[in-house]
Amino acid sequence: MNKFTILLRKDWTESVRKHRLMVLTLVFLSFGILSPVTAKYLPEIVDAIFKAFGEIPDLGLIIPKPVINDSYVQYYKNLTQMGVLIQILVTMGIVSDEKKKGTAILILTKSVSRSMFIVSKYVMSCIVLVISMIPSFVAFYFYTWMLFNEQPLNGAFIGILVFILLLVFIISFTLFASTVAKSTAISAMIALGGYFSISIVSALPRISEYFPMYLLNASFDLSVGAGSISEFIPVIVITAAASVGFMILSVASFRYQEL
Amino acid sequence: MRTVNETNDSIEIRELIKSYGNIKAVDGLTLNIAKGQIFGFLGPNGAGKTTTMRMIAGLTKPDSGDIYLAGRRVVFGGKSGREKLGFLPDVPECYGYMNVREFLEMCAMLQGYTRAEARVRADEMIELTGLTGVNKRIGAYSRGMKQRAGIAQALIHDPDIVLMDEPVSALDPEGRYDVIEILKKLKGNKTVFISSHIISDVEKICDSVAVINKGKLIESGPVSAIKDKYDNRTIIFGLPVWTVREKIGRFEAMLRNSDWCEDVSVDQTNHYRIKVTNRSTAQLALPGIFASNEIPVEYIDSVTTSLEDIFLEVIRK
Repeated sequence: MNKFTILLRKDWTESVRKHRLMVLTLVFLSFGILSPVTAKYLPEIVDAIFKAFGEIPDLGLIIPKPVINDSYVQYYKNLTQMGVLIQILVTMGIVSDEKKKGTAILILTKSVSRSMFIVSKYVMSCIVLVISMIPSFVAFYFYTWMLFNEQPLNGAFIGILVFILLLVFIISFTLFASTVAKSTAISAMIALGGYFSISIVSALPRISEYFPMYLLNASFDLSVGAGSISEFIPVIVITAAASVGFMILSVASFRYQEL
Repeated sequence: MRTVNETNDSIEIRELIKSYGNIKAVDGLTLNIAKGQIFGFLGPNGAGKTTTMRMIAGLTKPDSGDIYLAGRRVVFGGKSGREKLGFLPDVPECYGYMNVREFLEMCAMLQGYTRAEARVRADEMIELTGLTGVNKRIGAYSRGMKQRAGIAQALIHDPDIVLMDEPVSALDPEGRYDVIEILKKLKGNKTVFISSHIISDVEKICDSVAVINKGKLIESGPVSAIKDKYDNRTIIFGLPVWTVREKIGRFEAMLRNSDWCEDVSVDQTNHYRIKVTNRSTAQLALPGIFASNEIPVEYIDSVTTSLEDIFLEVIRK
């Protein structure tokens, strides 16, 4: 077993025993189940609530009949609002915790390079993300199909892959924050501050489609068949390059840090 | 810059300097530690011991100066010179979600052992550090047990050079005894560089010591040589309180007239404390003086200077 594999195994054990994998899987799974259910039954629920109060006779005039696209809207809205936040929360301590507690020292005084230490954390975070997204997407696909009597388009799979790329970018950005910060609290401030800044900049007209957050639009459009992958190549390439870039910056920063 | 240094010394430190802002944590430290020695690195809190240790381990970057481990130059952040190094930090924190066997096997495999070999090494280290039968995760360990796990990981790859920052400070007396016994077993086989506040323990196991204060080397050398240098050459003895005054007067006059006697002090109950130029000469001459004055002696002893006394003396200078 080579040293990188040993580090990956250690980071896998950490993800499992520190419940990162479980938290991500359960949160994403809840979105996968609740989003189609909410999209399908929200009008009926709202209708029932109002009827209980005996006020409004016909809500069908206000809330249109749910369609399959509502399920996608709910799913990506949940993933964007809570999913990204949870991803930041589980990633923000992966390097800063080890620096603060001193566990990194024990590994780095073995024959392990600092770059290998960081890259292993990046790769394992991505693996954990992908694994935790699988049950979520399967549940979402199944419940959407069942509830709307309509099989989701093939684009749904491409859409979720594009969204995973966005989360990979979030991982690399948070990894960078965790590497440069001396504590997890500072790491959280940098990561969340950075995320909100990028979100604001991404809302600006004309330039928004070149920022990673535009992948949210891409995910949705690809899922509902409103766009083709070729339209989103620039932002996909930019996000992938930025992810690798932040990972390289993390390695470079860690290499010169005194522990 | 040389990367390999042909020398018999396991650890060679030359003109090492490290500052944090305006404070010089390590100020021109030069040390040579021979192979197979157990070397004590002493100093008060904030003297620069941990900073030096971390520079030797390649974890902290020196402002200037060189460090060689077994002839190979230590490069900050690099792996050079570290292959044969075992390091125990001052507060060893192992992965709390692992049990000690998993942790040690991982450490061994990171040093190039196969899984089967790593299992054997882990078992050996668990036995050596007295952690046999402890199956809980490291996160539930006491401070002393974490220290033992830390020692085990430092020795897991059978390193030639071992750095231990305060290896006994967190341990109870039994734990301290056990660790000292472990360190004694390493004597002659490995070069062990230990920093400690517990100087009586250092005195028990170390061949040589260095004392630093405010980043500067104050004293270094073999323990015996340092003790000789700082030996206060004091002899104490007691005479019966009923001893006739005239006899005491003659006795004291003879003492003060002896060329080996530098100073005489006595309390009201005839307890004497004399400082001599040469302890052996005084030990030979004293019985004759007692006998010639017909003075019986209740007790006589030479005061040995402990390393702790010397440590306190040199850091107060």
